[in-house]
Amino acid sequence: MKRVALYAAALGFMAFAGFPFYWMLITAFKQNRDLYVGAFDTRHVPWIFNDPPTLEHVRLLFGQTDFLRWIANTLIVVVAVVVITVAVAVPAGYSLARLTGRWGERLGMGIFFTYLIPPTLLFIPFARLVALLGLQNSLGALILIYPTITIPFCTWLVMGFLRSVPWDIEEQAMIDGYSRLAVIVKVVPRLIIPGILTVVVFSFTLVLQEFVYALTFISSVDRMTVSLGVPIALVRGDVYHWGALMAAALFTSIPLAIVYNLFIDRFIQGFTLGAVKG
Amino acid sequence: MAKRKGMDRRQFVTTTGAAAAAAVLGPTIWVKQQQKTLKIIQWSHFVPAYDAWFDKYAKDWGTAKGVDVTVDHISLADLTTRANAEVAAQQGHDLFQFLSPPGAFEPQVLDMADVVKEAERQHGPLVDLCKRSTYNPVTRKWFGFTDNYVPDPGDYLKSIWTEIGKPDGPATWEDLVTAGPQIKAKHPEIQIPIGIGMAQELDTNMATRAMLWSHDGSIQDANENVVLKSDHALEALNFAKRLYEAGMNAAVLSWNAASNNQALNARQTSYILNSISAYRTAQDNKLPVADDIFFVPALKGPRGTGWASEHVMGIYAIWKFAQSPDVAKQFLLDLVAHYRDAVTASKFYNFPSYPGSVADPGTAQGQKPAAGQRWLEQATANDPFGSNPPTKLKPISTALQWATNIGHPGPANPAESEVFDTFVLPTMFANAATGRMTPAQALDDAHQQVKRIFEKWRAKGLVAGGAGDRA
Repeated sequence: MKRVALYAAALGFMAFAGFPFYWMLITAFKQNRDLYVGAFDTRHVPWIFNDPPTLEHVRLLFGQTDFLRWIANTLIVVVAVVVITVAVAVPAGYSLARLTGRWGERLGMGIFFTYLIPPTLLFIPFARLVALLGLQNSLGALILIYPTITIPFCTWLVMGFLRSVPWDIEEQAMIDGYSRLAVIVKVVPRLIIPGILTVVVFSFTLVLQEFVYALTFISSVDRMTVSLGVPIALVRGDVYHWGALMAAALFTSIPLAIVYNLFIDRFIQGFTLGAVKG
Repeated sequence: MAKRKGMDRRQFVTTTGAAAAAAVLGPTIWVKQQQKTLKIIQWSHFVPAYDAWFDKYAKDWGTAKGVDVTVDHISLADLTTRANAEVAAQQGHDLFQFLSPPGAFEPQVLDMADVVKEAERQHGPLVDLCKRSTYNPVTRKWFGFTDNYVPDPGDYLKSIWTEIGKPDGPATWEDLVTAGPQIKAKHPEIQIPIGIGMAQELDTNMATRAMLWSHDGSIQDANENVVLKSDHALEALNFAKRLYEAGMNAAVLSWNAASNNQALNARQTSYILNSISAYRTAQDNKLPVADDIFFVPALKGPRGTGWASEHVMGIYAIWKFAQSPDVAKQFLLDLVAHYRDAVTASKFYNFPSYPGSVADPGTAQGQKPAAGQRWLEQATANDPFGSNPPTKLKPISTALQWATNIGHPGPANPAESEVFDTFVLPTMFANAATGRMTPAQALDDAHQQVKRIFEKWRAKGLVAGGAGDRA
C-alpha cells in the first residue's frame, strides 16, 4: 500500500513536471484552427490533436525569424558569463566563508542583497555606463552587465556550500604540509565541485531567461538573445503567434532540461559523498 | 661613427606598418565620414506585411538618398522601457516611434513644428485628433510627429447578437449590460459575454477612457484642470460595476493586450473594444469566426455622448541627442508622401494622420484632404483583403467622428501620459467593478493620484490649469 502511494505520488509529480512540455509540444504542432477553438465546439478536446499536426509554426520560427542566430548569440553570452562568474564567485565565496570570520558572513549577506535590486531599477544607470563604454547594441554589453546578477547570487551560493564542507579536510591538508595557497588551488576545488556545477547551472539559467537588460542594450535583430528575439518577432502588437512561441520555448527548454537533470544527479551525488570522501 | 643613410629596421617597420594601416583603414574612415546614417526603432507591427513594406521602403529611401538606414523592431509593451534607456544613455535611435502620446518625454525631444508645417503644406491639415495628441499648447511645442492613428471600434459576433435581437450589435453602453445575462442564458458556455478588460494593459486603458468620456466624465477639462472627481465619473464607475456583474468574470482582471483578441476568436466572448487586429488574425488563420466578426462605432452613454480613444497612434519623436535629426525629418516627410502604400500594407490598420496624403495623385492641393478621406471610405467599404461581406470595415471609416485623443477634452500632455502609463483609470475601474472599493472610494483614490501627477508636471512648467482643479 505504501509502495502504491509512493508510485502514485511520483506519477503525480511527473505529470506536474512534464505537463508544460506536453503543452508546448502539442501547441507547437497544432493547426491554428485547432488552437483557437472556443466553447461552441463541445466535441473539441484541448489536450489532444483534433486536427492533423502541422509544421507551419516550426517553419515560421526557423524560416522567418533569426532563431538560430539568437541561440548562437545566447550561447556566446552564456559561456562568457559563466566563465566570469565562476572565476569571480568561487574565490569570493571561499574568502568570505573561510577567511573573514563573522564579518565574512555579514558581507556575504550584503552581497546577496545587491542581487535583490531589480533590473527594472538598475537598467537606467547601467544604460549610461554601457553608453560610456561604447558597448550599446553589442553582446559585450550583456557580458559586462549579466555578472552583476550572477556573481552576487553565486558568491552567496558558494559560501553556503563551503559551510557544509568540513573545515577539517583543509586543516588536515595543511598539517600534511600544504600551504594555504596550495589548499585553495589543489584541495578546495575538488571539495566544491558540486557547488561550482551549481554556479554554472544557475548562471546558465539566469542568463538564458534574462529579458530587461537584453531589451535595454540590444536593438538590432541579429544581435538579440533568444529571450528577447522570440517575443519581439512572435508577439506582434496584440497578436501572439502561439504555435511558433511554443515551438521556440520547446526547442530552447528541452536541452536545458536535459542538462539540468544531468547536473542535478551529479550535484546530489557530489554533495552527499564528495566532502566525506575528500 | 658614420650615420647610416636610409631607414633603419625600426623606422622601416613603423613606416610600412603605418602605410598598411592607412591602406586598410583609410577607405573605412572615409566611408564613415561620408555616409549619413538614420536609425529607426518602432514596434513589431501586428501585420507582418507592414514591417516588410516599411523596412524595404526605408532601405530603398536610404539607397536613393545616400543614407545608411537601419530599422529595429520592438514589442509594443517594451517601447517605454527602451525609450527610458535611450534617454538615460543619451544615445540611441534618431527616430523613436511611440504608440501613445509621449508627453513625458517632451523635454528630451526636438520640436517638430517645422516638419508638421511642411507636411501640412504638402498634404493639407493634420487631423485634429492627432494635433491634440502631439502638440502641447503650454509650451507651444510639437513633441511628436504622427503618421497614423488606428481606430478603436467595437468588434462583435453577429450570430450571437442576432440571437438576442440585435443583429447590428450594441449601440449604447447600456446595451452591453442588457446583453450580458441574455447571452449567458442562451450560451452558458460563453463565460465572458462582454470582453472588456479591467487590467493594467493598453486595451483597458482605452476602454476605460471610452467608458468615462461616454458618461460625460474626463480626467482633465479643456484647460487642463483635474476634474476626474465628478458625478459623471461616479456614474461611469457604477455602470462599470453593473457591467462587470452582468457580463464578465474575474479573468478580465488579469488580461493582457492579446486576451480580448483571443477570447473573441475562440468565441469565448461576443464583444470587445479593439482595432481590427483580432479580425485580421482570424482571417489570416482561416478561422471560421472571421465571417462572424462585425464592427460598431463608439457606444453612446446615457445622454447620447459616444467617444472612443484611438486604439494606438504612431508618433515619431526625434531625441535631442539624435545624430541625424535633419535626415530623420526628411524621412518622415517622404514617408507621409507614400502613405497610401502604408495604409494598404497595414491592411487598413493604419489610418493616415494627414488624410490628404492618400488622395489620388494629381489632386489639387485644396481638395486633397477630402479626396483622401473619400479614398479611405471607398477602400474600407470594399475591403480588398477578403472580408465577407466586403463592406464589413465601413464603420471604421467614420472613426474621426467618434475617436478622440488621450486627454480629451483637453490636449495630450505629460501628466495625461503619466496617468496613462501608470494605469490609474484601469485600476480605478477594477477597484469599483470588483467591489474592492466602493465606486466613490475608487474615484476619490484615483482623483488624488491624478492631482499629484498633474501638480508634478505643472511644477515643471509643462502643464497648465490648476486653478480649476476639483478638491
